[in-house]
Amino acid sequence: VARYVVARADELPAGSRLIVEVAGRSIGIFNVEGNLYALRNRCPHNGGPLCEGGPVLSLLDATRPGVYHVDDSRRFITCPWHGWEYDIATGQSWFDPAHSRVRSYAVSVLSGAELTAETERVKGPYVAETYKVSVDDSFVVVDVAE
Amino acid sequence: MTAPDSLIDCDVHLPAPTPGTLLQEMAPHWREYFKAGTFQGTASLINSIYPPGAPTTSSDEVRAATSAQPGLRLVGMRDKADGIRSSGDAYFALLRENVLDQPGLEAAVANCYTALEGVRHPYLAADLATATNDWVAREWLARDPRLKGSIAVPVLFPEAAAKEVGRLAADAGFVQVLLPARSPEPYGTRRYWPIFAAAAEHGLVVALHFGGVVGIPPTSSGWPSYYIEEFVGMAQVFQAQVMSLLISGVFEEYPDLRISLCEGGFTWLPTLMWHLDKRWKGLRRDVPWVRREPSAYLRERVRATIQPVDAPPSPEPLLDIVSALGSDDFLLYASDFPHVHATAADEFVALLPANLRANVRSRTARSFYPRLTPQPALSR
Repeated sequence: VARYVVARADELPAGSRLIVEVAGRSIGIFNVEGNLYALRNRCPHNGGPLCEGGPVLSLLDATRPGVYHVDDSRRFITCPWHGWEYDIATGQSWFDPAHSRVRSYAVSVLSGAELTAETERVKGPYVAETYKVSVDDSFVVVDVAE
Repeated sequence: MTAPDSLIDCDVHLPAPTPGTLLQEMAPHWREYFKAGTFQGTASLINSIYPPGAPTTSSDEVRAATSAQPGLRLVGMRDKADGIRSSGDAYFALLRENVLDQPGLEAAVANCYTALEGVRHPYLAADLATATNDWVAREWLARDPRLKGSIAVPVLFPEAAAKEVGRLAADAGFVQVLLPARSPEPYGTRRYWPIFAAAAEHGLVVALHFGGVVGIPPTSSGWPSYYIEEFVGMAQVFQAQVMSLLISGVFEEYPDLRISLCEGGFTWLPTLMWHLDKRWKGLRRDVPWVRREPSAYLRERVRATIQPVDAPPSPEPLLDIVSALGSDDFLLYASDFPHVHATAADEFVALLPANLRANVRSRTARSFYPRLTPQPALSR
């Protein structure tokens, strides 16, 4: 089983995050202005709770000293332990994207009708079983496939 | 083209001129100003940095040759006013014997430190710098084309300093700009940037050199009590300056800016870089113009002379430190003549593996100093 139902969609409004336990992994699920992202809640640096840190921040850069540039199309989370920044969409660090990265997961919102159509996938061992899937609701589904 | 044993000495010293000597280079109103006795020269300031009797300042040999003057600081070139006989020839003979006659010597970068930063009169400081530079060019650089100069500037007045750099830009005899290591604020502070802009524009390295008398303590914890604390503690000043320059973004602003650290040592650099690089990953949003690891700018744009070598009792840890610099192209040979260090430059260089030794002796300097590479467009 690779896909897990982790929350009802209304439990993850824009600007919020959830920390869920899926297949033995702690995962942070974020809703950034309607876009959903999921990252492993473990900083690749020292194992800090990466997704439980500060706010989701836009990319901040400067083309020259004092000439700032903000890119709202790229969002980062910073680890609460040392402040290292990771791209919320890709899991890649800002400072060394090729070598320092955290696992990111596909996350989607599916209706109860869609979920019940693929019933064997909603029978996850942990979180999923706590949800009684109703065809009238929408659910957040995270895919932890390798 | 270059002999494998060639040598570039990146830090030798020239004696400082007396006020009377400089006055001959200056406009008449300064004669009246000097006569009035308001200005006594900077000798006492120079002495606070390089005490004439300290064993670190000079060897006995040099002290004897310049004994007509207290220590090294004053060379009464043509200074009839106070009756001091010229000892420039005697000093030059020692400079030739100890530096210029070294086998393979290709160039020697000379610094004439006059504690100009202690002069807070903006117009006097600027004109003293000009007079010092013209005197250096005529009295010293003209003696041997391999002797290269450092441009003295009124560092407290960056606009005037930049102007002085520009004035001498066409003179290929000057290869760098001389700034004292101690400054009122760290050099990354924007008010100093005109100096860096001018140096970068004209292919001049900016040398931060041991010294500086700007009225603030030479340690970050206030005034020490003894000279040895100032002497050894100068490494802390260099550390603050390097950090400031790397974080300020001045290397991003001026892609041609190059800094050499003279007489500040280098053994403290690896740990500073490890810490800066690590903290930058978490704190870089504070300074987003620092777009690469701070150490990347250091290895690209900063070099350090090998004096003083803070040598441990056995050589092995020293080689580990050199390795921890993370670059075989970082250290510059410097005799620091006539200053005396506990580990001589040649002793240190002899410890290095052959390739690194050749880099330290001349290759690194030749590629780092734009003006030590033949420049057809520039001529003296």
